[in-house]
Amino acid sequence: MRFKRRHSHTEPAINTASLPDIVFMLLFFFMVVTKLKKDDVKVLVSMPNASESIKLEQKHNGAYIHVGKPIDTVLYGSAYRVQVNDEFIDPSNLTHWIQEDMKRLPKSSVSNYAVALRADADVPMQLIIQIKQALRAANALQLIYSTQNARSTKSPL
Amino acid sequence: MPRHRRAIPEINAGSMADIAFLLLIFFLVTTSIIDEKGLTIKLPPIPKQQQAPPSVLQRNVFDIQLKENNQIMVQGEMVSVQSLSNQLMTFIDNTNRNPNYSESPRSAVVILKTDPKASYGAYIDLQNTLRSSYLVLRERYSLKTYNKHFNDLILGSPERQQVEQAYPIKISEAELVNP
Repeated sequence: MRFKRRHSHTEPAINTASLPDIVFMLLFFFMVVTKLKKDDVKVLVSMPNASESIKLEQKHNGAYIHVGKPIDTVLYGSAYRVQVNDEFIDPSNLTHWIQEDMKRLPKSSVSNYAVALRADADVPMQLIIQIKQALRAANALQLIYSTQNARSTKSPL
Repeated sequence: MPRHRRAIPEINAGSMADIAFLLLIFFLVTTSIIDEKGLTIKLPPIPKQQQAPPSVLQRNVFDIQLKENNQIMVQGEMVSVQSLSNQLMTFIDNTNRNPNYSESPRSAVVILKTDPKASYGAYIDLQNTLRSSYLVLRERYSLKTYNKHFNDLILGSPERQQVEQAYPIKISEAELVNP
């Protein structure tokens, strides 16, 4: 009897022609959802928790203000500082800065200009009040107190 | 002389996947999906001329002070965050039952005074409590009137607007006056 195998058993090659397509699909997904970080934060911020925070759906159209103690204490000292985009700024110059920043937007979207305030939970209210007054003076009236997710480790007060 | 048929050489796409993988891994590593969350508020514009503040009946004012040691004082008494929420809800949802509380939810106003030495964290905690109290009241009203959760009412729909008008969030932050 002939049971001898005639055909040589080589594994069929897996067709990888569609692999680039799949990978590209993933790639485009990540390219679309990625937002490149614009500024590099020079202050330590541990934002407070709030259970009622709203997830902001529209793309943020405006400035970020970071308030906290500088990470590099040797260079910048250890007092609370205000950082707007990439630079430290004195709160008294904030009104002017915001007004300049609003000018780069088209007229129609100026009313959507919102400022996200990312402040450390330990910052004294004095500084926050000062910032709020500066925003009012610049007529940038939409303010977002950025908060952390409620599940973070730092317990609410 | 024999003519060679010129076939267009095929582009080798084998390395395409490698390149794409490389880019993919780059984006995977650099991406951190941030979900922007926060409490949104609208600041009042600075009035053009000095004008007298709108007069509000004393009984409609719910006075909250955040003290420098982060304690909360309501109508002159120290309270905890939890009892603040309960007090605020009874105050707003009074509708002529108690003559010391607000006339109606529509006319109730919260006035918040913050000490410059209080911490931002305590302030956010307080704001959050105020908001959640209002949301509880809205939820109640929504369930009673429409038998629907407030969150299920579509944004901008007349029903939602009705609820929002019945319980308007009126939080006024007094400008700081030195004591």
